[in-house]
Amino acid sequence: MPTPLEAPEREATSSTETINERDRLWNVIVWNDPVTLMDYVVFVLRKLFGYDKATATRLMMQVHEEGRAVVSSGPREKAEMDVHRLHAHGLQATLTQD
Amino acid sequence: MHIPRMVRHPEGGIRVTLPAGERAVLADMAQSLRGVIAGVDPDTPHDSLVGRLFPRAYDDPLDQMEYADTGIDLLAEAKRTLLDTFETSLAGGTTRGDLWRIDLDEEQTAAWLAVLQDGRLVLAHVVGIEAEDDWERLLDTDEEAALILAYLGELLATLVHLLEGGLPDPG
Repeated sequence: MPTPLEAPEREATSSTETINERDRLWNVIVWNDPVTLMDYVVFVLRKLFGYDKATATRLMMQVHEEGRAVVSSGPREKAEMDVHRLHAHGLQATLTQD
Repeated sequence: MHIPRMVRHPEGGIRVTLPAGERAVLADMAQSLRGVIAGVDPDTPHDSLVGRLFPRAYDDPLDQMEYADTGIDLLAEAKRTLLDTFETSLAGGTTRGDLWRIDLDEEQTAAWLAVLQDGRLVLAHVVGIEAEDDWERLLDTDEEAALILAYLGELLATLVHLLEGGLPDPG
């Protein structure tokens, strides 16, 4: 049975650093996987982010050929929501800061 | 006579027509998915199969733990709701001879889309598809799994094709 995780200690930061940290944009990255259909990726990117077909297809091809693509950027809360919606559609996605 | 498995219904939504055997394949897939979703726990590391449906959001372990505190439960609830909708639709519809038919509304169609994708992810993981080259090997080692994956892929591709016409194209 897996062992429960224990939270590691995080170093304290000043409030100014925290605000600056949180203000920086977060990128949402979709990762390539060998199972998901290309047309499905295009469809989900259009549905979730409102991209036109050409833009969604370009991003999908970037995922396919380079292994990953940034599909949206924004504040942390929005980026987390975007990742959640991508996971709900079965795509591998993470968020990372600029 | 050839009857397409999925078509746009004249009154909106998607009409699905499947032989009983294919309906049973989808029911089995849904049951397997429910078992995987039941195995998720935000406080413990996922095994790789659960991780296929509940991927990490962050590389950083602490950020991931903070996200998982609420994010995993939300995602599990969303996936359970989609699965409930999918299974309810599978239990509905009408049967005539060997053919089962149902007209999916928008909510049911969204559930079919997500559940078919998750079903493919799980089955592919179970049979060891980790790279593009593995598909060729699968045909030699597990023809039944290869056929089911191809079948689920065909259903999903058809659904995507039918739905993409309804998306706005701002370009």
